[in-house]
Amino acid sequence: MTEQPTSCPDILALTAYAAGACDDFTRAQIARHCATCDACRKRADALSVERSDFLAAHPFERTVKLPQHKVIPFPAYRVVYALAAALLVATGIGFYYSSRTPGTDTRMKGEVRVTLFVQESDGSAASRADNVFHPGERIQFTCSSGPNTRLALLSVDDSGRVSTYFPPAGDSAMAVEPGREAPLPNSIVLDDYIGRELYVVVLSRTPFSAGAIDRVIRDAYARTPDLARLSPDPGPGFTVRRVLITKTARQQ
Amino acid sequence: MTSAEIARIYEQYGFVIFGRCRRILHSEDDARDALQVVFLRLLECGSMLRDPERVVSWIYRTAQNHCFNVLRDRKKFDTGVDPDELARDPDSEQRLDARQIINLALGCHDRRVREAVYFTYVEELGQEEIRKITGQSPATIRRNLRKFDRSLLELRKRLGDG
Repeated sequence: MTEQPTSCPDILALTAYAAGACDDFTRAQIARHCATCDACRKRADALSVERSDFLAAHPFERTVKLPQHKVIPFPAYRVVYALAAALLVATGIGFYYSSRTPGTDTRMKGEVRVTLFVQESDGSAASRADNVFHPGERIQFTCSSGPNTRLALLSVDDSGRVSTYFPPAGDSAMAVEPGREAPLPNSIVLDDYIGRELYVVVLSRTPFSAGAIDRVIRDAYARTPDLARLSPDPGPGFTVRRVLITKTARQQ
Repeated sequence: MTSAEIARIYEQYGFVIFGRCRRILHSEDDARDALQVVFLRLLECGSMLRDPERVVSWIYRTAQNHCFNVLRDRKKFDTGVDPDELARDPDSEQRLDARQIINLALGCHDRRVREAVYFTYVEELGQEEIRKITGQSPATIRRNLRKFDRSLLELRKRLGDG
């Protein structure tokens, strides 16, 4: 019995095939088609050659510069289970994460809420009432917001050093998923700095520049170096949430 | 995401990003810079990375938007020709190639026309492929192409070309 010819895959499918990214079934299907279709075989071959030429000329280790702070996403399913567990714990003990600690502000008025979790040694996510963390720990911010929200996340430490976490590249604030407790795309591995660090989450319904927020934070620090009282104000149209943490060396 | 996973994503999709960027920016150095930006944005995409065709579609759209923003920011539509000077000099033997005309005309149109034109004439994609990338229906794509074709005709007349 003659096998019925399949229709030609489009450029998106062929490119995914040449990228080696397809699942086994799709790859076998496209390979079978290319065996009987000259045009698609030539296109797929050309894409494969383009890919190998590119990797030879632009190898990963010489071409891509990853952000300085290790920014590594939680596996998605672990975040879902970990967040569920953490929320249950928080509800059970009537826990308000850092809301009553001077200098922190994580329980929000209105529709915007930012929460901070840390990955414990057993892989679960937890919140810490005392906001004390250690270098090397991995923290994850979640955000509850409405539609069309853009976000930038920066930090300033006691020495006045300002770091930008989101957006991880470029200057434009990134769009966030609307909804409750949506985790930001990547977690943050805390560096070796010992002392206090103020995380500033800035949200707006309109696009804005992370560089501009960086300047706002530096100006605020110049006026008020005490992180507990530092309150950056980007102006109308912005919502600002602050989370103050303390990093201490691990007890041996 | 481990370094190995990031490297794997680069090895799969890096050439797609670079290829799109080089087509628009016409410069290896500029394309490398754009690759860095777009690739880091790709790493933020989370669960979308599990769907290869969605990733490729995202790359087509994002690389195009980023590179056109780069060109616009640098006020650099690479024509090599001042159309007003050309119009004043009837004996000029300069002729515009297709790419220069497209770049000239693209400065005058909105994002949706630009997308329809770019993916049709530069990437040479079919309307269904363009629909998957941009969300424009085939009817909208055809309408936007007609809009561009009309402006191109006026431009050619003004320049005395063809």
